[in-house]
Amino acid sequence: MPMFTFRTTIFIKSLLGALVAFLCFSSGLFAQVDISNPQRLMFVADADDPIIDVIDLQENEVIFRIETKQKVDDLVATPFAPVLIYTNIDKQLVSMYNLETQELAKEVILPIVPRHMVLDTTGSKIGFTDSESGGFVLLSAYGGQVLFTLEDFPPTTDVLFDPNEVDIWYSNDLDGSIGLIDSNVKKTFEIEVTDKPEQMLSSPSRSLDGRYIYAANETTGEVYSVNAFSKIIYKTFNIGTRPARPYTTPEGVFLYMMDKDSGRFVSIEQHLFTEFDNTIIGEGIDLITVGRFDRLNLLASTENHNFYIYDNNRKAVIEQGKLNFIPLDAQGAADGRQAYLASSDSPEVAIINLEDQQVSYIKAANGRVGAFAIGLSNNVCH
Amino acid sequence: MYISSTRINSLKLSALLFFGFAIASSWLIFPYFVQGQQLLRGIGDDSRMIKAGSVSRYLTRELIKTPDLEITATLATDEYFQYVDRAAVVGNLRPDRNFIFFVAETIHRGDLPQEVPIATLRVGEDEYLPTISDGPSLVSHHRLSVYSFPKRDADGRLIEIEEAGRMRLYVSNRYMGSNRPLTFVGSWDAPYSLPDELKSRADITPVAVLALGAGLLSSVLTPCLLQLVVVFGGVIAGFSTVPGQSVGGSRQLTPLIRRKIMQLALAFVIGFVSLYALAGAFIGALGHQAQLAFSEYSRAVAIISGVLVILLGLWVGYRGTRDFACRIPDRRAMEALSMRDTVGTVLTSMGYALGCTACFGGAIVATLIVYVGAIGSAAIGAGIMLTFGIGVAIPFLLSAYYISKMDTILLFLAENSKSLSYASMIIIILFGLILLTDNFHVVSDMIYPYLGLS
Repeated sequence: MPMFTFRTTIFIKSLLGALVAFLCFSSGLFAQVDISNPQRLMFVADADDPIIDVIDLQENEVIFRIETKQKVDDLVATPFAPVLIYTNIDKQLVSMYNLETQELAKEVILPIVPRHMVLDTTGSKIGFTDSESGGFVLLSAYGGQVLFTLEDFPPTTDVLFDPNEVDIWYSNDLDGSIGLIDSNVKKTFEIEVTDKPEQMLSSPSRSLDGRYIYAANETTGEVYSVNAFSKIIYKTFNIGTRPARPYTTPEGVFLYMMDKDSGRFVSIEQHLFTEFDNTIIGEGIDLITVGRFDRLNLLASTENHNFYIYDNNRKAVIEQGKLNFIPLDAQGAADGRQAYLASSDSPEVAIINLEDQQVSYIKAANGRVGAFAIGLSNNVCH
Repeated sequence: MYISSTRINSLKLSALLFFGFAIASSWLIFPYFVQGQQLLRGIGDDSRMIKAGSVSRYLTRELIKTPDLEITATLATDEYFQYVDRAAVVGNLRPDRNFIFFVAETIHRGDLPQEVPIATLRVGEDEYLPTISDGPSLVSHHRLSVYSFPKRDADGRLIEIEEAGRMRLYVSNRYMGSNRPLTFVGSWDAPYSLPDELKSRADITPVAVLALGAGLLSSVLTPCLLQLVVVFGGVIAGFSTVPGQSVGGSRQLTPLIRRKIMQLALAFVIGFVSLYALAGAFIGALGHQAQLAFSEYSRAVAIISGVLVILLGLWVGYRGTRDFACRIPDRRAMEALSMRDTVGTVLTSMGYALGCTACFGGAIVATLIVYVGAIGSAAIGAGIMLTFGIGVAIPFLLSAYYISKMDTILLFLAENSKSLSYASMIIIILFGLILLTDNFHVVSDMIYPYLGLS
């Protein structure tokens, strides 16, 4: 006599089948966190441990942790492809991580120390420079091929890509000049800012259309404006004693110049080059993130805890406060509603809602943040 | 023409509706064939060249103009280099620290002297010599030389050109075999800065206005307009029906619906085209101040637009509960309904377009300022946005014409007035809520990645 009737057997089999299907589905669900769309993600690398935390910008929480082979010194994510690129200075190594398969895709050893890395406006090329020993490498962000190398290249910080994808601007402290690499012919051209060498120049910034290039000089307190076509410094602004890197707003209206010593903030309307505002806001300001319509601006400093939200309509600071930490860097969300600041001394990232001026924090990294990036930022011209 | 059968093939209906939707969205092909950003940049370059010519003429003086000899001098101030691109003078000229002059010599009889002309600058009673005096020596008929005079005197004091009121450039050379140098003078009166109208004027031709409209259609505005097609569908479905009809007597309604579809489509495009043209005039007149105005009032405008659209959506739903089908012979009742539907369509269109403009108006300002370099004219702003609006409107009208010719669709509209009214109400209210809650980009962002335009 059979132990179970036919109907009972069918029932038990069905239950087991459903259980197996549920287990398969749920294990897949929990194991596979989708991190393939960089535009909705933030990547936070620990300053000391070889990890990168992936934060979902809609949920504002860490959803994935990438364990890397080496400590990460800098990182960028390509906005239109699931590729995360990070560097290790000690090994002169660039690693390319496939966010879709969640695997390390490629490693490239560079002929220079990649102290600074900048992604171009299309997200397809990366410029590497070394601010100590010099050298320049242009790398394909998707394929990882070295497009060209300039070994006889001055020490410099971040380079600046022109929107035409041909000129790459840089500053040369040793010669006191602003230079450009013509990537078609792989040659450099330099414009002296003064007749004296050894100036402390900021990285260049540009107007949205790439017509004007700006650079600050901490030695003289000046900010220079270059006609990118004629390669001529046609205007000099005297800002103070220690000007920060100039900033241009995402929708292209304003040029901001800040003096870190006096806290002076000067905004220039780029269309007619008329002064829009000239006021004292706070010392040390060198981080800026701009909101929608180029209206609300987060001003912060890599030297202190202060932050300010400045309104271009009212020409006034409408909110100010102190962050839990001294920021490392600031980036704006693509829609301009939120600003993100990572900490150089604690394991967290601040989120400042520019529209309602609320500040919140996300725990990320283990000890302190070494580098961070969001997949698509509105910091386009900096 | 009456329909012989009231049975509707749902597959055929779906295909026909999809095709109508595709026609209404056909402006989307623009970005695939026209590189909007490049087009805008190209027009911007043309416009900038016109402006550069105006600036250059303003700062240029004729020192002599005879049939044999012509000499001009251009005071190349910092503003000159702001508007004029001169690839030929790449180098370390510093108009921020020096007075720069370009001297152009042209001779039609004989050759130019081999030497570069000698130039001196006089400001008031003081005379200054150039630190840079550069030009080709072995030339025949044409020569361009550059002169640079420091803005500070030998003692390091800033030369006060504004106080002096006038600066004069003396250019000397042995022209046409003369034994002694012949000297010619050009003078520039204070103030030396460019007049505002020269800096802000929009040097845009009518053809460029048309191209700018097309450029906008192909670049910044495309994702924002995707939703307008859905709202258009909702309006046609909601307002073209005759409430109160049940299956059976629908055949006699189709000619009426046919006319209404074209009437509503026209009302819809008039609504958004006129609104965009007005917005363009506002942007054109105020320039970047318009951007700040958008940032100040965009939320309020979106809320008002959202409320208006929601109210109109509710009205569409309410309209569906009325009974008009049996009053077709009552011409006045039908005309009153038709008028209300038309007004409702114009208001829905304008309301939604107003919300759209509040959303992407700032981007239009930025695009025009960045790529064209200037707007500064209400007429040009209105012209650009009118072109843009017409570019969107034509597919809408074509779609309406197509729908009005498809008997299957007309019959479907005639037989389902109530359910279509409710569906339309839901669509219109949903999009009103999108405006009201500031989630305009959510729908666009959902659709946009699948268009392959990134």
